[in-house]
Amino acid sequence: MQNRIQELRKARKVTQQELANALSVTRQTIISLENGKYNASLTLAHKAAQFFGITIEELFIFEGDENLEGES
Amino acid sequence: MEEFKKKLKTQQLISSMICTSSLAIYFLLRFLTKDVSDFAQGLTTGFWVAIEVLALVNTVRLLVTLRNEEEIKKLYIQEKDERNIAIQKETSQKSSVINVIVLGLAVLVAGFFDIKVSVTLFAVLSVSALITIAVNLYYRNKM
Repeated sequence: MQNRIQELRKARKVTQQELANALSVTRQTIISLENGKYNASLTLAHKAAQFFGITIEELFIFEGDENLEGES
Repeated sequence: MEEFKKKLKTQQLISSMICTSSLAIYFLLRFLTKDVSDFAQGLTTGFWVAIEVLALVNTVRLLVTLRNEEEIKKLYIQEKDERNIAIQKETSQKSSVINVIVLGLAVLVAGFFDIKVSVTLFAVLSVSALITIAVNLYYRNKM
């Protein structure tokens, strides 16, 4: 799942450490999220969306899931 | 955060209790293992000394941390960070699978050389499989 964390963080001139502190996670988690190596939990996604003042859907780009498409 | 502080204080209390009771437990262990071989006695003493050192390090670490709010927050983030928790879960899952495979292979290989060793390894494999099943059932009911 892709996200706009890096883009929004840079636009707001927030460092990775500041964002990590605000979301109560480590800086490594922010780096992994920005690189797309790690998918945030619902709680963290909610916190991040709240931090940027947008919805979860605007912050995280859900690209669909083959299993879900197969079921419908 | 208050809950976390309480947890740290409890941990510190347990660690310092282990540290303060070290001599008493050491002599108790010596007394309980007086009739066993030197090797077993040394093993027990060494095990206790290791626990003792860990408890001492933990006590000092927690004493330093509990005096500084910033350090408490750092430790809180480190322990509650969801990526760290996910890494721990993944590590224990994968390593237990690797353990079972390696033990299974060891049972087969040992069978060619020594039946006693092979049976012992098979017993270890069975117990670890039983523990995995029991823990799995517990979490199936809990979640």
